[in-house]
Amino acid sequence: MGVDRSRRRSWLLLQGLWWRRGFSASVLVVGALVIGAAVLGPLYARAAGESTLRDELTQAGSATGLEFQDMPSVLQLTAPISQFAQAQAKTPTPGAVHGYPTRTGSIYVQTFADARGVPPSVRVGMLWRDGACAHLIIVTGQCPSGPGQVLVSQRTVDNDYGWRLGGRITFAAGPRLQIVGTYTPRDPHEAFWFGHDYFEAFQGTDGPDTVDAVFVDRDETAALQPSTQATLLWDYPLDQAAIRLNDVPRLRRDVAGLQRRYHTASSCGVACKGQQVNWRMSTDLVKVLDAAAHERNLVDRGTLLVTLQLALLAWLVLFEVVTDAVESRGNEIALAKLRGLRPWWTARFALGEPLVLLTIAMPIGFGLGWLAARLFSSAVLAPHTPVVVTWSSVAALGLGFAGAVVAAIAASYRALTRSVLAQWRRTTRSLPASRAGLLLDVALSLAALAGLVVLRRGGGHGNNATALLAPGLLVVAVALLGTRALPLLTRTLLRPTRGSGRIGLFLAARQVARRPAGLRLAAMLAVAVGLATFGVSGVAVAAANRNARAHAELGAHRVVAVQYSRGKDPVAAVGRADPDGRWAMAAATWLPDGGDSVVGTVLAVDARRMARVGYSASGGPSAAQIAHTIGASQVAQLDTTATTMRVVISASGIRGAPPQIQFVMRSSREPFLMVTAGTLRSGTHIYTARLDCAAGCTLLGLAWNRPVTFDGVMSGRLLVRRIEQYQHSRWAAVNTSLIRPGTWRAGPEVSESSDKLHATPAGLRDDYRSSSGYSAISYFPPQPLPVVATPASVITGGHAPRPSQMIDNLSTVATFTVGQWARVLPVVLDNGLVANLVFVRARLPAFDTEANWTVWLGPHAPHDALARLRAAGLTLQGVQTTRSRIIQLGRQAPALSLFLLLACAIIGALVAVGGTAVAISASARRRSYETAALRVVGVPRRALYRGGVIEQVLILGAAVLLGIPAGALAARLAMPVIPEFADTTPILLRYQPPVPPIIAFAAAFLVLVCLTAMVAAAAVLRAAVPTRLREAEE
Amino acid sequence: MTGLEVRCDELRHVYQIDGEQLVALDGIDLTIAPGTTSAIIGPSGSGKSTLVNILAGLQRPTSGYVYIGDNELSAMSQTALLRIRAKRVGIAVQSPSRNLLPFADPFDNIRFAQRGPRSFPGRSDLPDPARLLRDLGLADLASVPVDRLSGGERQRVALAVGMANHPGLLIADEPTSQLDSANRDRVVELLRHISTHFATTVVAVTHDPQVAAGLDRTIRLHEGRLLKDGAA
Repeated sequence: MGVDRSRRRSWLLLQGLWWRRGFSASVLVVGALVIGAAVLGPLYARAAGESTLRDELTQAGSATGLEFQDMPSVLQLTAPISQFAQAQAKTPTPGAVHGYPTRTGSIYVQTFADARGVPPSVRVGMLWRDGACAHLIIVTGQCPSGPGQVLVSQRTVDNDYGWRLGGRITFAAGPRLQIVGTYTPRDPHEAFWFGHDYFEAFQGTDGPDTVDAVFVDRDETAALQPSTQATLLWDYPLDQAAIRLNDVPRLRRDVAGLQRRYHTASSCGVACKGQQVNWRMSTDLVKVLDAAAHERNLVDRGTLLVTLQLALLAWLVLFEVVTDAVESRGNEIALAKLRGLRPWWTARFALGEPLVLLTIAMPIGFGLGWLAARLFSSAVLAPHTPVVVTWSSVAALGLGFAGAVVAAIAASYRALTRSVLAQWRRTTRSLPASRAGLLLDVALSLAALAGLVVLRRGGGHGNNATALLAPGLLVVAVALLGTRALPLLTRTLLRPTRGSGRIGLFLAARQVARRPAGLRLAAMLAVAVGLATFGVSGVAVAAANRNARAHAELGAHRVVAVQYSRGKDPVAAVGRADPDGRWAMAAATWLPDGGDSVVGTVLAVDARRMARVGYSASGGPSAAQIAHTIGASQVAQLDTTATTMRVVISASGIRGAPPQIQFVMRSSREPFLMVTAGTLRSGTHIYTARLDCAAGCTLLGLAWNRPVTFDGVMSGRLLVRRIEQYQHSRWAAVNTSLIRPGTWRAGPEVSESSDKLHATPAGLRDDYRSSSGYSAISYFPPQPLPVVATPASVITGGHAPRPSQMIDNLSTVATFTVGQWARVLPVVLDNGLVANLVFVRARLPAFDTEANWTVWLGPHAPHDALARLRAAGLTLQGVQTTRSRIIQLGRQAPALSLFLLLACAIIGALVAVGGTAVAISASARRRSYETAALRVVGVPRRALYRGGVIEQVLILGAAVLLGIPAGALAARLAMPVIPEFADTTPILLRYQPPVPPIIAFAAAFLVLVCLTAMVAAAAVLRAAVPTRLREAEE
Repeated sequence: MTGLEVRCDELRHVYQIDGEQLVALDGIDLTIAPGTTSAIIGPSGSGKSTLVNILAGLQRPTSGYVYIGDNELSAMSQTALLRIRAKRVGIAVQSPSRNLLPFADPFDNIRFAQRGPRSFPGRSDLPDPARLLRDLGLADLASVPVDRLSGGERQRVALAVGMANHPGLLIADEPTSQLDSANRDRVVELLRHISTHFATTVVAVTHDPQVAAGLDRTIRLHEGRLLKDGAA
């Protein structure tokens, strides 16, 4: 009996749900959206946390790995191989530490080797690294397969150290090895190399040059001299793809344990008898995990704030929809009371349907939330980021359901507490209640505005995730106040339209003026539209700023790292690949070796190509301005392929030792070359020098160098009459503008010599005087070098050297002058300067080997640009693109929060439109009686339809018209305090909301609103048949 | 349950509308004998609906007393009034949509109406819905959804649902409005059948003298006063 009764009851409930299937579907959909919104937050936050963790780990590269180092002291390395095996046994077994399944062992010996037949001439690392050959490009020959063999870098071979395939090298560490192959690293920054500086080659300051590491077989280490100091290394790369947020606590614990253990071993040192190890374990994993945790914190906070706003909006819409649904059941609830059902039974009857719907909505909402998180994950998060169901998402599901139930109860409260007669009469809200509502709206608006002010004042600059509440607060205030004002405005339309014959407009104005329920929905719609507009504007602003940041950080559309080696001049190679200078440019970054003037990075760019290829940094000068400033030179670069040059000089008043006349040149092989043309003599003479310039040289100037045996003062007067080169079997004058004032300059500027130059019709006169070093006159490059600098990068005033100077590790000085100060510059950002690459390398002989070289490719580079660069002789090592950097920045926590805000706001706006449509549909039946009456008294159907459309357009359009400017204003006010990046950037961020996307969004939304208005008006009219009047009012 | 006596002593009801008083019932003294059928008749605004609402416990009088059997309604709590409606009074109001769940059939409507008495503790002697419908000659409509019934059928089903709790008093407010004469006669016949078959006191409000003529007694109201009380 009881079962039958219960079944009957369920059947009755299902019949009711089907009877009002439109409302049931609405409650189901909105309920599912509320629950989905609640669940989306934790699901998305978790996925975003996974994504940022993965990005942080990926960007950190080998820094997340564990490096175990054993540095046996001198004399201890008696049997490196066995010692290696013994030491390795003390390192963790691969896989024993979670996340570190593999291990790469190395034996590295820092030693010297002979070069050009002179031992020891170069500093070199002798390396055995397990599996290294798979990460090298073997240019010639092969990898070492046993003792006695060595693999050297192609760059070292190219650099004329006398090393060649098949030749032998003697190492200070003992062995004499045969070169069996040459290599180029596939990518020196590859994770396999773990950040070790195996591939560095540069000229030594006071000692030998350093060349790239050479690779030997492991058995070779057995032949090392006993006094050799070797480093035994074991690198454990982190299996980044396998690391999830859940693994982080264990990872931290394990690494902390290892650090304790190996710190103890290390501190044991010599005191530990018989212990052959001097351990050091290092990793940056903890720092990387801390950075990831910081990002995750930002994501969590941002997501919480965003989804709270969406959930609140969806909750309000649900409240309205359930209110309509319950109101439509008013007679049934009154019937329950009429039949004497006790309050609890009546409540059960009234709430049964919404609760069943919400229960059904729970799994649907969860599915929707998961699906949305999945979609967002595939759209904006790191590839293959999993969407994991966690306890917090289950708790959110419970909270979402509870919130929906509360909405249903709150919406049913009025119907449940009203008397039967009041329900039948459908009494409206009392006047005091309306006044209370107005006061509440005003109070809410003021609170929202106050909150906004507090956020803007206290939020700092782009570092407060709580600021994500600001747009919501602003649009709430505007929406509430605006929709309160709407009836007042429409009331002013009543009088002019009453007798005008425009009955449609009159009816619409009258309806809006008296319809508070519709206005509540309009307020919600305005909030939703405002948030969506903010989302559109904010995301566009943030995207533009990400774009600007990526442009500033990279400097060009694509940046290709290239390896420098003598004979493979990047500038010349780029010139061959892109002769017209349309899409490629060589550039280099360099940290000066002292000089007390520059504390930042020097970016050297090819001024002739910069404007076409390079990007500017937002807030700094344009690429063209930079090019113009650094390219300033009164003289043209003089390149020659002549094998002989001569200079005609008239000399007089020679005191001290007569100096040697030297041509100062630069070639692709020798960055600074002084070629002697003879000793100065009184009278007019020709001084001839033989040059090794068949591959091209640049004339930098002339020098009057002192004989090595003389250390007194040299002085005299010279007249340089002309300079000639021997080409095509004859002498020809070269145009060096000897008679043009300002073309030649005295130099070097920082020396104990002085040259007083005067350009005369007969030639260039120089009254020289030198007490130390040499005296010289410079033709090229200009001195001081013109640069564009940021204030932080150059020391000025006080004890700063004048003129400002930068010094290479050969102690060559280049003076410079800041032609333009900039807030921010490409690549070096707020701490560096940009100089002319051609000038800098002409001035500083060590620049080429000290700098990090890149080739910048412009947006119009051909698709085979890299192939062309390779064909031009460059060794490419890695490509960075602005696109990948933009994507990377787009996956930072603040960007993810903003994207979520946009998506949620658009969903919210659609939900609000849907809720409005439901409300209109609910009111259609109620309104049909009066509309039918109007039809009966002769109001044309067309006028009624028009009135209905105008009414809905007034309400919905007002929401759009309020929401869009409010959202745009919110974007303008709130974006400066909303974080856009997880870290800080010195570039100038711009906050003007872009107009086109807002217009596109507004247009799309207005179309949607107009369609809704037309459908709603048609629905009201369809229900308003004259037979309706025969029915009693319900 | 046997029919209940209905008695009103000095019954008065005043509405406050925009600060003004409107007297709906003005000192009604009335006794309706148990198991009889009575028609309350009068023009619009005479106080018929107010009287019926007070008898049904939906409204409290401004002053005076109302007795349904031994229960005086004016001093009762809301719960006690609910119990009276649930167990002792059946009601069929004017609009069919206010009497019936439109999506359910008569059988389920009766079951729904029986939830009222069931919601109170204690045993309820409730009729079997199918038998009730059969007794009232509505068995063939038992499983037809209400929204497919005609106006006359709905009105008769509404009376049947009013009898779902086997009440001592059945109040019918305009049970024949919007019905043609054939349906009207069938409804009047049903009211009489209810009174005789179940010994229920029937009070029907009507505009229609033909309906009043079909019942045992006619009670006339005019401007809140009882004009004439006598046998039809």
